[in-house]
Amino acid sequence: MTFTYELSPPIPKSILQTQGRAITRDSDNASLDALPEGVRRLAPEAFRDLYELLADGLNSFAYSMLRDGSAAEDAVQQAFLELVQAAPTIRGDGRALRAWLFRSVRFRCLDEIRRRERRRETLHAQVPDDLISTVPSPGGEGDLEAAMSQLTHQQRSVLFLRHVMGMSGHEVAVILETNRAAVFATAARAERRLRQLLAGDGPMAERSA
Amino acid sequence: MSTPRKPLSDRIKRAAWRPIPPDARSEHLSAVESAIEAGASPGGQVVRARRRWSAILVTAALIVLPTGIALAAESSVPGDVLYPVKQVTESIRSLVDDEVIAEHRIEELEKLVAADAPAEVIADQVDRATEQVDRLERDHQLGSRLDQATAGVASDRPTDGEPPVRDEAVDKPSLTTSTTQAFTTDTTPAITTATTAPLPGNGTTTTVPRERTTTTTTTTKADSTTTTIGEVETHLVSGYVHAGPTCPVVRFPPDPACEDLPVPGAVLVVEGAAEVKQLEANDEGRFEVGLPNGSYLLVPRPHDGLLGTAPPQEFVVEGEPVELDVAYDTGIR
Repeated sequence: MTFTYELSPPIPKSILQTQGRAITRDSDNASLDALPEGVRRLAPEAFRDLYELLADGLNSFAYSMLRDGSAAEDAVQQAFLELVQAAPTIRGDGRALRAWLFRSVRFRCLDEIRRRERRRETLHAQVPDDLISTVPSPGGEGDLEAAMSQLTHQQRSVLFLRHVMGMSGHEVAVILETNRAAVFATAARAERRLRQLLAGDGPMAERSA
Repeated sequence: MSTPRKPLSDRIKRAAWRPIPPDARSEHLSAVESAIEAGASPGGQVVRARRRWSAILVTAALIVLPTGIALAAESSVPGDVLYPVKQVTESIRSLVDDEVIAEHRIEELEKLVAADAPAEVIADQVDRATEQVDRLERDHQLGSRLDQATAGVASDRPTDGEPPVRDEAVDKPSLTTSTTQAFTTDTTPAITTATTAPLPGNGTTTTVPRERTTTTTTTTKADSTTTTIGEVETHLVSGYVHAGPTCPVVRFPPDPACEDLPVPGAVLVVEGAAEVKQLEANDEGRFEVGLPNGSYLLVPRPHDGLLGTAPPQEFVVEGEPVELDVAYDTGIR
């Protein structure tokens, strides 16, 4: 799969990831831009650097869609293996390469979601509905995870790419195959919905009550 | 709405961040390096390049080859290797253009005449072209084109050594009213060329070459009994080909229902000192041919459906029309 897109403006420094691992710093962008040439030549060190730079973000993105750690790791691995096959044909700079990887992971996650829906249909025929629900993983942000699980996977993807990866609306639109206006609209709706859920309005409050 | 934007963003970052575990990380890197090694090896590149070129070549062949063959076949004539391909393509084209087959047959006839093809081949092609044109309307413009082409067969065909001599006094040949014959101007053997078109009530006559030598070709009206062609005067020889008996018991007086029946399509060979002609009886069992003075032997050929063959008979043309009777034996007793 080959695609190119115009360079978006530099990511503002205000969107710095507090844990310091997401690609939101200018130095990381510079590192990313140095990789495409090596990747196209199938240089192992370029792939290793690319993996170190993006694998955690990709894994988090996949997890935000799938809510399943091992399935997310599989999606990341498959995306990198696919990149090995497609690398000579990929054009563009480091951001194009990053967008390519996120798109690849997203397609794999969507496939997995469709498979799960088919399985869920089978499961629903045998198990009562109230036993089939998303259980938040243990941790300090359990309520936020539970709230995010109430969003659509498109809304979760937009929130993740915007807030965690610090991508521009244009980059997010390329990855999600939509336009920038739709990205902003989806982000606004998702944030509003999330605040409502965390404030105790809506289905979450009803369920906990 | 009470939660400020900044804290929500930070909380999302903390909640969504899922680093890959170290064991999975090393496993992924190992798998990627193995894939790179396999893909980057010279063998792998060669295989990929070969596959790519194979795909390109196969695709090109699938597009170019059939098109090229079909185009090359367009100019083929009967007997060529690609002629069957032409027949297939024209049968497809005829679905939208009903004239294409007739046009092709006429084109082939013109090419064969221009290429000095053997008389038998041209005769067969005339039959094919006529059949196709007859399928269309008779007053169709292709009819006149075919007339021109068959006229070319009779008068424009080059001969060995000398150009054809044409009698300006005779009518221009027509598919429906005239026949074409070829005769030598002296006693030296040989007819080399000649093709005849179907003659109403007169069967078909084809001149078979015996030896190649100087030939004079011209045309003659069907209804004349004596015609001068160059220096040679010919006379009408006609006859009736029939088969009998048709009933197992012969009655007296004869039963009209048991009369002999004509033999349409019976093939007769006339052998003379200078030439050999092959005649074919028409639907009524009649045949006609113009022959110069001389002695001839009429040899009926075996006919499908008849047990016996009519015996050969000698006849002499001496300035008068000759009427012959050819009797086949049906084998009914």
